[in-house]
Amino acid sequence: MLRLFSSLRTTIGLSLALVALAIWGSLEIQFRPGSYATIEDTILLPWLRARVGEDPRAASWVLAMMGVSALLCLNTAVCVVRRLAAHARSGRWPVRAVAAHLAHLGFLVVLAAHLHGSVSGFRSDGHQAFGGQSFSVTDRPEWRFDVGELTLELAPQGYPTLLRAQVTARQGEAVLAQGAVEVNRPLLVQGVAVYVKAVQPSVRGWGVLLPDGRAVTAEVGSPLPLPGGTLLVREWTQMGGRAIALRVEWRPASGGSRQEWVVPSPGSPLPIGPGLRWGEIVVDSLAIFDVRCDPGATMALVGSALLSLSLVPLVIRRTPGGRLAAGPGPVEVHESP
Amino acid sequence: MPDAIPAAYLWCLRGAGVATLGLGLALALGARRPLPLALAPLPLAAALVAWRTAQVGHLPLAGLHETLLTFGVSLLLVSLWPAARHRTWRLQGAAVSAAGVLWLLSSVANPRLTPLVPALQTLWFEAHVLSSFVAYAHFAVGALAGLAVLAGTSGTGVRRVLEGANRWGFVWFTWGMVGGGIWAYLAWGTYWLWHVKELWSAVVWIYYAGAIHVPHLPGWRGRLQGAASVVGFALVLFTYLGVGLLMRNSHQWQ
Repeated sequence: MLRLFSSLRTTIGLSLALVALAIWGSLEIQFRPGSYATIEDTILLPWLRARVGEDPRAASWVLAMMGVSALLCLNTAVCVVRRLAAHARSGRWPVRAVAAHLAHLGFLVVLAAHLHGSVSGFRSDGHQAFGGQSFSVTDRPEWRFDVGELTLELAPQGYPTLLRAQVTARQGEAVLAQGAVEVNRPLLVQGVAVYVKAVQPSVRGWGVLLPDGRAVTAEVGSPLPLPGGTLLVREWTQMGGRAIALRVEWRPASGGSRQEWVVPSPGSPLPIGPGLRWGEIVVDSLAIFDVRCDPGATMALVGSALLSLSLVPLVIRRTPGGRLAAGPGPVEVHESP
Repeated sequence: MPDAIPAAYLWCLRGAGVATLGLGLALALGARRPLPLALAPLPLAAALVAWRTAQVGHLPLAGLHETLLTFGVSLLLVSLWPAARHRTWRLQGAAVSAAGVLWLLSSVANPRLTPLVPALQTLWFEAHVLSSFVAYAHFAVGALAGLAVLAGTSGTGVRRVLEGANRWGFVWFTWGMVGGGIWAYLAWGTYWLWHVKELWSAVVWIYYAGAIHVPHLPGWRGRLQGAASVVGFALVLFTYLGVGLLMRNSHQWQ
């Protein structure tokens, strides 16, 4: 068995098996996209758990890739350990050989980091908030993310050129982190990253004109105390044309409540309290956030750096005598003289 | 950014493509003074890159038109050093010809001027794409050397180019993957996406990781190595063009 796992033929065979599995996976995703619609919504482990029972075919190639990767890791580790032992016995540590071992070690670290992040991270996507509102995530229930100013800039052709949201992460009243979140610039909070996915105009609420002439805004989902009762706009929907209908709940101060769909027009009266009238629709910038935690990310970065940097001596240092096949990898233990 | 592409730019691109193709063929057929012919396309490449960069305000790395241009430029540059070192000018001729063909293909791809979407406005994007195309160019040189080996060329120069190109290509591709991973983490919150493009990038990386180990196996060198390089470049081409044109692709930003 040790002979098998210290063989370069095994390395190449496992590499080809991984290639075949990845190609199979790409065809699966191409031709059965429905089976993979949620694969990016969570980390890998919960997705696999759900798929193994519901759609084993969808999970099969991912599991097979994990299995072959594990064998490749074992193969890599055995080769590196045997070569290190040989160097220790001979007392010679050539730069190229050491670099090769570090590169292989980097590869192992990256795979271990990916496994770690796939079983112990979380993803909580699609949180919507207007400026001044807050949101929270179930995986960090004691935290709150306060959203400040939102910025959306568009090119003349209509493409967004800048999306920015001021975000403050708090635990109670303590500020954990704060800053401007932009595309490619997440807010990092103790290993949790907050990403802004979109900033777009959206209906925030409706103006309500008070009897004294002042205007207040009834925001969707937020009860609005008014003279004579409370107004709660539960949801809105666009009807034909530009008309918008609201599902509202009236809670008169006298008690009770009732829900109904209304089509508010500016100046029309509200049925609770005298002198209350609908104002204009209020449109504001709405931000959509993803919150993600990958505890293996730092480890993956370290492994990638190790792999990337260790490859340099392998290509820039010439082989003694300039012979061909001056490659860096583990030698074929059984066939080398 | 201007609203339209100057027609002169596309005609110059076509002209440069035809000229480079001709120079490459002259080299491949065994020109007596190969170095001037090999260097001649470089000013054209610099001018095209500068012109396009001035048009769009960033390096030409986004979209098929720009990446074909960059692929051609990379191929010219990375094939020059091994050719000069190992005197493999005929092989260099094939690479120069291929660069000319890439520019001709670029001239017929849509050269629309669109601003970079926010996700692409980062140095990590440029590092990722540039490293990938330098890697692709090395893999292309490796494949041309592999074809030469398969065709019976026996010189050690071609074999050295074959091994060196694949090794350098693997290093650049690794850097490209790492750069792409860092960019993806900053932009989307994960350095790995289960998308077709990422899977095919993994296919290329794993394949060449295996391929660069092949020379260590006595008896596997020579024609098998050549065949492996050609197959590897077929995977590269599918990853670059096939995935974008034939499959559902997460890399279609605009």
